[in-house]
Amino acid sequence: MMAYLWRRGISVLPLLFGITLISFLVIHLTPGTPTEMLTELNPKVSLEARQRLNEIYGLDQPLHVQYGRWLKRFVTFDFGRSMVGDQQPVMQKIAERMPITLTINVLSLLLILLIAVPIGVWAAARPQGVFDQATTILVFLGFSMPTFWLALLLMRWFGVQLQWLPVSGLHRIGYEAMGRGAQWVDLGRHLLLPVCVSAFTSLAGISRYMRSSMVEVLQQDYIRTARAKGLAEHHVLFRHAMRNALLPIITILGLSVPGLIGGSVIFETIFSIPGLGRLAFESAMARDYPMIMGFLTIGAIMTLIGNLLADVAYAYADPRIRVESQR
Amino acid sequence: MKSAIFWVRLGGGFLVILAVLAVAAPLVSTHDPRAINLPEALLPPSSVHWFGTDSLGRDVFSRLLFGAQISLLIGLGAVGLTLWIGTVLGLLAGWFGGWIDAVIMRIVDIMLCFPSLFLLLAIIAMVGPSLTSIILIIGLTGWMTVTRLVRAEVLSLKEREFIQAARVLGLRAPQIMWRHLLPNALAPVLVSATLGVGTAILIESSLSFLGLGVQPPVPSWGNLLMDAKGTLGVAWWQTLFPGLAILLTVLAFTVVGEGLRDLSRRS
Repeated sequence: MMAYLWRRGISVLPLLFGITLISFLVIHLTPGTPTEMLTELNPKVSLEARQRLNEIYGLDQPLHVQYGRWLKRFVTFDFGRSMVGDQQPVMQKIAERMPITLTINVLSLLLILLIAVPIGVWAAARPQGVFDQATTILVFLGFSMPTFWLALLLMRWFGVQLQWLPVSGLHRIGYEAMGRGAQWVDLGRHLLLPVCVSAFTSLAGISRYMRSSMVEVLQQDYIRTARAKGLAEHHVLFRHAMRNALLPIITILGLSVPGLIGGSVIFETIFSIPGLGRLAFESAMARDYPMIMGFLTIGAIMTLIGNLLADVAYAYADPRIRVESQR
Repeated sequence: MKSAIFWVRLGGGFLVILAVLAVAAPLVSTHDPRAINLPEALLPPSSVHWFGTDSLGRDVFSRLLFGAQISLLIGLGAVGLTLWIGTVLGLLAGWFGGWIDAVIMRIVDIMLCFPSLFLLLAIIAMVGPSLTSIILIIGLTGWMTVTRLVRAEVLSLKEREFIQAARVLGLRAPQIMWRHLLPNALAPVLVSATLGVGTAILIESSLSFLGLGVQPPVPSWGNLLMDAKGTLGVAWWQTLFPGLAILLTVLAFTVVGEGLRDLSRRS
């Protein structure tokens, strides 16, 4: 297992290098230098701030020197300071916003698993049955649903009309004065809609994958053996088949990480949640270059970590992967 | 469940009607989509304003029709660009193999690491939003799946006899790629392109909704929904109709794409 982890870890390094290169190119190959754009579009930026930007990126130097400098700073996670508002270090701002975004994404991953896996199992148990056809329609709707529209509709029904759930922020007024339990309940109520919205799109895709993975597993010899032994059908489905069908889903979950992180831009903006996605949106609107570089690179690295975790989980769940890497 | 052909026809029919309505928008629309008429603000749907009016008294139905132009234009334009880049790189990677393949596929892996909305936000912040820049940016950030598809097709086609024969006959690589590989690799690519148009429309509307898409007063579907955010509790028609338009259009592209995939697998 250690050998596998080691090998996998090393293979990530060139990708990491590529991520920094592309982030750098995005900033530098697009027309206009950041300093020019800042003077044009953001009169609030002072001469001093512009000089600092020049200093960070060394915009007067040739491109490869600039990249070298940037890479050197990147190794220590130094993306400079934000150009607007409080002008805090970029990394500090990102670190502040990260926990809430991660929480929502992990919760929605759990929700996806909890719902998509049983849907896939039941749909595969009777292909072309009523349940399978009903979920197929649901899957197609999921693929085509604009998330922000779904969020607006849910806000309207549950927030405005029924007044069951809060529609913005993370805490209600007077949150500090409440007891521990009440605080958790309040946070949960605020997170319910965002988590459901962020889970919805991936839910469709993953239940689809689960279904086709199950259909494949159910044709295997050991399933016929299990049935021939006279095991109850639900035992065959959920014990023998599902565990094997779950394997490819681990990889798919890893691949859905960038979508979830990117999606946080939408629901965090709609529900006014102070997370990474909203930070990304705000910095893009304000053309805050150091921040843009920061969230772009960190977003890609989060994806990389997600994929790595999925690979490790896969190797843990499937001994064949581990053994083969030792050969 | 009806046959795949049924769904392709149903979705395709919807898209044809939508395209005709979009092109004929100046003739079909009942009002000027940009005409502000404050006395008639926030009227519910009626025989005069079929889908009601927004907070500036503009006719939602007419704005939807003109919005269809924008959505289809961006969807088709972005996917055209995606196809072009993706196919060229996929052909090169699959045919030549070796370091060319390695370099192209690493770039694909790296590009796929970026959460697409983050990348889009960053580039739009640099370049500024406009119709052309949105098409370019969605196209430039979405070609990776096409490259993978084309490469996989080329790898399997490369070993087939007719390609070997073309090589033995002394045809040059560009000729083999263009005349023999491309036509045979096209089916799965077109399926993914159909699905891609739907995705591009979703991305465009999300960007417009965030205020980083096509800029108002151009009536894109995302812009319509951005306006609707302000009147959420008051004017349901402002939220419902543009959202339905996006949902149905993307659904139609998805249904057609999946149907075509079914059909191409069977044949």
